[in-house]
Amino acid sequence: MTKYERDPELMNFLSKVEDLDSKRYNNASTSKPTGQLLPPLSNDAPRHRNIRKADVMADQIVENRDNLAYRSAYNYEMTFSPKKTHYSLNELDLERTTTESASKGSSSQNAKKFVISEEDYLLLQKLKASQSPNEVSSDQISLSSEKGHRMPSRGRPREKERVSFQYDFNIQEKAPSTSSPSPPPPLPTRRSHVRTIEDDSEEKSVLPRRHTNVGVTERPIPLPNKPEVAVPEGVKPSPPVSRSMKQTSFLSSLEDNKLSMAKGHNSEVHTPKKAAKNSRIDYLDSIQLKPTTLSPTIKDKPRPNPPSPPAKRLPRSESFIKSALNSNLTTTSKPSLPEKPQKLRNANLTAQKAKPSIPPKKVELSLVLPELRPVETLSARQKFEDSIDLPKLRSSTRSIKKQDEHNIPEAIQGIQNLKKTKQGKPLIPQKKSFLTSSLNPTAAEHNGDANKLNNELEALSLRNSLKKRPPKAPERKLSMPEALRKIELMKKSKTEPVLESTKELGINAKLDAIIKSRNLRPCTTVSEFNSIKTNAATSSDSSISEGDTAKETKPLIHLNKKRARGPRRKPPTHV
Amino acid sequence: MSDAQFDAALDLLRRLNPTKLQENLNNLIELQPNLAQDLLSSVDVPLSIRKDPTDSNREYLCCDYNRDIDSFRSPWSNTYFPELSSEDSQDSPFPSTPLRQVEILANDSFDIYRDLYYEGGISSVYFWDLNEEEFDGHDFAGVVLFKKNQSDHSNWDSIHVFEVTASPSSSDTFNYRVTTTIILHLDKTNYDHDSQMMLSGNLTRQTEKDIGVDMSRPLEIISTSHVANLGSLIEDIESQMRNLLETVYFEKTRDIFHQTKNAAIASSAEETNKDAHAEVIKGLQSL
Repeated sequence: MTKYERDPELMNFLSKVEDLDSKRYNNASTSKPTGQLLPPLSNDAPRHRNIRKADVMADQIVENRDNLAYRSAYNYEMTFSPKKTHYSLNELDLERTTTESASKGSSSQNAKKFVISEEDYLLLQKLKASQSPNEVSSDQISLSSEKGHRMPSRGRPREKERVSFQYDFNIQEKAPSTSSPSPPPPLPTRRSHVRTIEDDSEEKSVLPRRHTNVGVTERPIPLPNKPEVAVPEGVKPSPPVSRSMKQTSFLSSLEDNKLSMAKGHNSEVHTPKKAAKNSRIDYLDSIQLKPTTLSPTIKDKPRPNPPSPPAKRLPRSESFIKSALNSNLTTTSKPSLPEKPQKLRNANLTAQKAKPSIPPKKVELSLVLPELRPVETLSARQKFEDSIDLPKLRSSTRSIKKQDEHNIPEAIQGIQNLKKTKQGKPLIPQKKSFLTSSLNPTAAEHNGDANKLNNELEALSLRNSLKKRPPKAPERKLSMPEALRKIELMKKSKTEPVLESTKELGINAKLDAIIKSRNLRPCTTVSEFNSIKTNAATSSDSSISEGDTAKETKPLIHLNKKRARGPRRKPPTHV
Repeated sequence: MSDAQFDAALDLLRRLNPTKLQENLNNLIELQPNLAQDLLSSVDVPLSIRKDPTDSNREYLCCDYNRDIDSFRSPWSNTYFPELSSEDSQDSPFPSTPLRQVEILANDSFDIYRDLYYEGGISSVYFWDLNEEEFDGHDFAGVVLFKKNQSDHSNWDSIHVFEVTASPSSSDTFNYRVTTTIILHLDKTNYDHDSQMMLSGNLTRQTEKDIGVDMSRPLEIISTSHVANLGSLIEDIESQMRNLLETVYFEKTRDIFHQTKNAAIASSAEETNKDAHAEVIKGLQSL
């Protein structure tokens, strides 16, 4: 719309067309009360007028934005009218205008559009005969959407447009008469022609059906289309439901649009449904107020489009839908694409994974190099040192190696020795077990006679050994004085045995000696315990002696006895 | 004969109840009066406390070394309290003047020591001359006393009797012989006599140490060095004896306590086990 407004030529053209329309309607006006919105459509001319008026009124109502009740009533009337031989696209326009709440397009603009569309139509009809459709499409683009700023060829249609305007002026009066008998331009042609238009707009497959709808809705030229939009008489359309009343989701509306588009192409279906569907078509129309490119895949897969707030983002929705459709095109045209992107992602991931692995290598390389250099230098130094002091280094390294070599066998030998000791040790527990078995009479009873004999022998041998052990222990605890005494006794005994041996003393003397020796042992032990002194010498010069110690003869040592007695003093009175 | 009696009396006193040491000592003196002086000077009894009225009733410790008749010399005022008669006072022992100076210094020093280690209690130091000659820096003796009462019945008494004599080897070296006796008495008095617990005993150790002192210096410095040497020596001895008490005697007492308790428990358990075994065997035999 902004482009239309900006174009002064177009504005002039529209104004002229409006004037012509107004003159035409005024000349052939059969004034009817406004209350009668939709009289029965018997004739084409009055019907067209009524539709025109209704359209204008509807637009006005829509401008008010509040009279939804009227709109619903109008739709109801249109749908439940007795017979509706023709399907007017003005009804669609009604719905379109409801959705185009943001756009403040007036009825005059709609009229202008109608004129433009008719003009275009006529031009196209003429151009089709003379020119190729592609050229016409390019011309159409220059007229409708783009004003020839980009392409030099767009200037031509403008010239033609001006020419056609002149033609249009003459033809337009003839149009009502000529349009009815003449075969109406089939919608597919228009769509195809719109498609051709969109082919030039670099999004060929997107626009056509959108634009057909838009063009149809915006352009209230129902007359040539009327025969196409014939509805079966027996079918009564269901009452249309206003968009506000009918709550539909975005996806469902898209689906309906798709169906409506398909039905519009193939077979014109019930008008009420169309009205309702047109209301959903208007959603996209409102999104694409300008003739933007819409992909045919919208019909196929409109669902993937995320439900974006369309009414609020009318100017921005164009880019959004474009982007969404582009994304859909990529997805729908190639169903195998979803897999590929994953692969690509994987490939990207692998590539991303591989990439980080590279820098550390570089870092390592950068880090390793300085480490290697000192190694080389060390080796070089060692070489130098070897060359300088060969004998020292060789001796040191060889000695270490030799030590290492010697250490291992030594350890092995030590292990072998340990094994030997372990092998030797188990013999003792066996003896112990025999001991226990021999000592325990109950266990001995259970064993056999041979075992008994063996055990007894072993037990006797061990008892002898046990008997031998106890006297050794006290001998170790002998103190020095006792040892001296023993030495003296031994000396005496040595001397005596010699004498005895010489004199051959009797057994009594030997027994006496043994008894004496036995009597000496306890004496020595007692004296040992008594002679233990817990003198704790703090230093070489200091010594602590315990007062509790005393010998058997002098059981207690009183340290206080040796200390200073103090000054001379008189005893107390109580003593 | 006197030595044997003296030793027997000492042995007897060692084996008697330490809480009744003073009573037993008096009994022995009564039994053998000729041993009175030796027993009184050799047997350490818990220290008594008296107050010096001339020195703002400052407390001082009393033992047999500062006693004369029934009076005890105060280290603060160097006077006997209760005061002796003039005749008795003339014969009463007093340290020589230079030694008295050393005694004052020692009292002050050990008072600081007492404050540091005991955080309370009372300390007293008494010196006497070993020779009749005036103190010239050697051959003197003394006693260092510490007492601390945690309660009326729990006491820590430390009695350090020392002798400082010149060693025969060199004139600059002195032999310090310290005989230390610690009398510890812990009494938990309860109104319920059944749960009364008491732990009392004494521990005696003797330490000798030769320390060189520069005799060329003036007497004050020599005396100060003597006090310092005595202080360090007594400090070491007290710490050693305290560790002995803690690690040996108290631990041994604790072991005995646990053994008696556990033995009783074990014996009771064994009896119960035997009974149970007997019942089981009887049951099996009946089967």
